Amino acid sequence: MHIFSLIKRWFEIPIHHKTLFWGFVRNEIKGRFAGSIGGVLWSLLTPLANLLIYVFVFSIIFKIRMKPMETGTDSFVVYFLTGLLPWTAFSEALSGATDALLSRANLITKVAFPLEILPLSGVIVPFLLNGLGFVMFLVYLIFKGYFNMAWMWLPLVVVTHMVFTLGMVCLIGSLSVFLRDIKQFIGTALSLWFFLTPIIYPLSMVPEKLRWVIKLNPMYPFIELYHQVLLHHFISFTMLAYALGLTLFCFVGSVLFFERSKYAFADVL
Amino acid sequence: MHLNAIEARNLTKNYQVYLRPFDRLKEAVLRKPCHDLVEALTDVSFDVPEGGTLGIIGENGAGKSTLLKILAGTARPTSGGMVKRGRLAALLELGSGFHPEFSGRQNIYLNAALLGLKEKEIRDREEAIIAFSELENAIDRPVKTYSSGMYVRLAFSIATSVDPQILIIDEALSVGDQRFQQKCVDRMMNFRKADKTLIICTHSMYMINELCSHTLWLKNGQPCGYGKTPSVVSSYLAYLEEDVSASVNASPASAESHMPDILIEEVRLLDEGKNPVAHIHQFQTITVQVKTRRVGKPIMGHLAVGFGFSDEVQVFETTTKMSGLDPILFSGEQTIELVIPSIPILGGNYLVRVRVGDEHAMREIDRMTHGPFVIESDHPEIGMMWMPHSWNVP
Repeated sequence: MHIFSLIKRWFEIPIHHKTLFWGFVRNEIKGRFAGSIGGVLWSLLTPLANLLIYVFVFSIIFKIRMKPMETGTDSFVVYFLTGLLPWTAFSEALSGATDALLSRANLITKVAFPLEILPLSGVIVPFLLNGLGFVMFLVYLIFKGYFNMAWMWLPLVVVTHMVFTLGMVCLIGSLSVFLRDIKQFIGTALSLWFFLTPIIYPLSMVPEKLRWVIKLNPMYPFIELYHQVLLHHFISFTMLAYALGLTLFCFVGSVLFFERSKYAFADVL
Repeated sequence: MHLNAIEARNLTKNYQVYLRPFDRLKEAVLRKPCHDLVEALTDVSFDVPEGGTLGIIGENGAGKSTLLKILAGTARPTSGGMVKRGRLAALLELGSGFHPEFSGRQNIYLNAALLGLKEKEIRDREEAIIAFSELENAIDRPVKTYSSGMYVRLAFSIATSVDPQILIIDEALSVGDQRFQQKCVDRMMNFRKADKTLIICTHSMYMINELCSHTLWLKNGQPCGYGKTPSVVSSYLAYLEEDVSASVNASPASAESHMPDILIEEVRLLDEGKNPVAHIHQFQTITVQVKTRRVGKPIMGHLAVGFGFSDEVQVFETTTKMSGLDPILFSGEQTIELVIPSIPILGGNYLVRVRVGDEHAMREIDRMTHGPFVIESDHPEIGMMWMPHSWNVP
């Protein structure tokens, strides 16, 4: 019972503390682009630049060819973007997580407010910003004739992905308060993680002996679900169950950890 | 039945201090203690009734801030517990949570939401907050362009407009210019009149005396005195004197160069014939004559006269307010006299300290120290004053 009310609390906070929650989200977004002329445009330009680099290296130089049988598309750009956009939201959330609590030490020690707001807004913001690019990508896919009824699974995939991200942010955020080293290696860890996830290559290109490594990667089911739903137009329930199970495990574990450690934040910060 | 707004029971807070961050990890993994224990607060209990006022005093590092953090809910006590009734707002630090890139108006919304207000409540109060902070012209500018005074004014306006049942203030008023400080004091007075609960932590005994009915004195994290303000404050001051006597000369000399609102122009000691004197006989009638000058429109205030060895060690001080007089209306040049029919102070060198304060006798406007003057006593007794006495011996 205790655990259920704990989980419920996380989903109720954005509703009960609406002003505060959206205030933080707005702060975060506006603060990120404050003083820059490009503003929100930068959240589109950065993935675009990444896209060009990877397309140049992998599609033009290494000449990776997509087999539509396996990937659902013959375009490297389409395949790559399907995985890249969700990944970017995840990795931005995670690299921001180390600072989510640390950078607000002053607030946490001086003002009593629901701390859950901090990881929550830390997840919403990158999803909103990358959501912009994602929606544009979806429109592009519709033009190219990729639309299919299987897309109705997309909201479920996105929400599961977000809750999983929330769990990770929560864990990394509260761990960073005690172990400041996390901040130093999270960047390296994320780039390693990126290459271990089938985003720039389809799983079929991985030697069969090594595929289990990729499959153990917790991001694998989420990226694969995006690929399946958007390009392949089907959903594998094994994959969905894998993703849901991971999400449940990660979220519940992190919430419990956060709950136990949050009272120590003010002492440590 | 009168409920308590706050009931604190045996609050204790220990901090585990790790020399290296690695020790924390080592302890978590090996389950072997690798820290030093710092007892910030030990066994503190008190009640604050609804509408009551509690002052918290003590030296630096006595645990005042820790106690306030626990009361505000940002820190958890290691042991002990407490009950709170009603909405609580804490001003532990003015302006924490301001985003420098945002305008004052946008910061009002986020900051008030942090203190627990709903969107609609904030909208209703927005104008009042801006008006009180006197930032009408700057409210749509980013707060990073504000001066520190403007910053603090906005923060104080937001925090007090939340209209909490319990307000906790930590040294918040030591900022802003004098006129704004006055506004803050007025607002706290109204707050008290409205039967709200107030908890103040400050080094200003003046403020404690005026605003708080009860006072808690913390020393090294332990309650050293708790009760009605006058007795706790005087024992605290007595304790400080023992400590401070060495550094008496390092008193906080008012370095303000600007002209005070009410100026004390002259202080004179007069004898029965109204002649100035520097030597006084014990039990003589003396008059302390104070000449004040107010430039500008008349304002209300109170006057304090004290006798002492120095600014810190007072033998006796009285104010017009303590004597039950209404505030004096200062305008132009005036003369105020305090008559002491028979001065019981024992022989020695003394100073007369005269201070003029605002209408609540809270904020000091000007002060002047006169002297030293000499009291000559025919009595051989020791101490500061002579008391009538008789012996019964076997």
